[in-house]
Amino acid sequence: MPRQLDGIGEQVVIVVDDGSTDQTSEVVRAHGAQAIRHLVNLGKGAALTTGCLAALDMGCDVIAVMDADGQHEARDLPRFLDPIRRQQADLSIGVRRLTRQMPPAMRLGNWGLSTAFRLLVGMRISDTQCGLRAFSAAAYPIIRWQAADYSVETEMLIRAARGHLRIAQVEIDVVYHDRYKGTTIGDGVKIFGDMLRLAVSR
Amino acid sequence: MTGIQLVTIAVALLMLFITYTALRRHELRTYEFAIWSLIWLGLLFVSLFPDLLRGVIGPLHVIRLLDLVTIVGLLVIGVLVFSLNRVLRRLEDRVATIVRRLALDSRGEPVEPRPADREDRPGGGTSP
Repeated sequence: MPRQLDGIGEQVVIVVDDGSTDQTSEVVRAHGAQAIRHLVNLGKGAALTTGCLAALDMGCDVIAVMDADGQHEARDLPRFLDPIRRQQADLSIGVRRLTRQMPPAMRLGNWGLSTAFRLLVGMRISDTQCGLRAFSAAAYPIIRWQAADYSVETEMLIRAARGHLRIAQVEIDVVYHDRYKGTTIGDGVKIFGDMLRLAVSR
Repeated sequence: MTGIQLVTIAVALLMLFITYTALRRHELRTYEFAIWSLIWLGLLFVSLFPDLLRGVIGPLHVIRLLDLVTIVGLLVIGVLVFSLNRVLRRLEDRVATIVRRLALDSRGEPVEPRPADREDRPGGGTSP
């Protein structure tokens, strides 16, 4: 992550170390970024909440969240943040290009979840599970999620839809560095279950 | 006395012993000990005197005594699972609040040693 992105004013980089056993926090601090460390692993959604609270505490106007495995390109951020900075959108979500790099199971899973989202929520979102998101500080209280795990992306979208927020979908490049180790088929089923629960609950 | 009665009596007696041991080791509070002991004593009573329950089978429209015991057992399990789910959810929320508070308060401080016996929770990686 560069210290200063083109076209972005004052920028703060916060890395939430969700109870990792390696030297993540030390490395992050050595590179001049803020490391916030959970003593135990709480899950992705909980880590995002911590990072957002820290960002809001520091007075940030716009918050961008991205996965820390290098899957997302920092150079996409200025373009990605543009709809929010121009006040054309409250929430900006990444849409991963369907390339051959993306594992087939993941492509199928994402297609299935996006279709289910369209049927359940009535909103056409091309990639409901992309981890690259950005939103204004004003939008955070509306999309504030309770999920501590992978369901966070779905919950964020459903809350945004119910809050009538303007959502921008921005195509992004994704880099798969090694064999995929993230979510499993079980996680996909759980995400679908949570989507169903959130869609019917008021 | 039938075989299933003997098995149930043995399980009830064993669980009574384990419950008492747990109380002695301060692993249970007194009211928890009382509730669990009542459950095991109830099981023991039903196993020893099953005929006493035959009177309630008719009004409840249950055909066999074993069916009644199974239904009641399932109901008890359902209540217990629901209660445990609520307790676990509360504990999870409290742990998350404490861990987050510690994390936010210790921003910029030297990194503390990591617990060796960390257990991962779901959703600890990146998006699918």
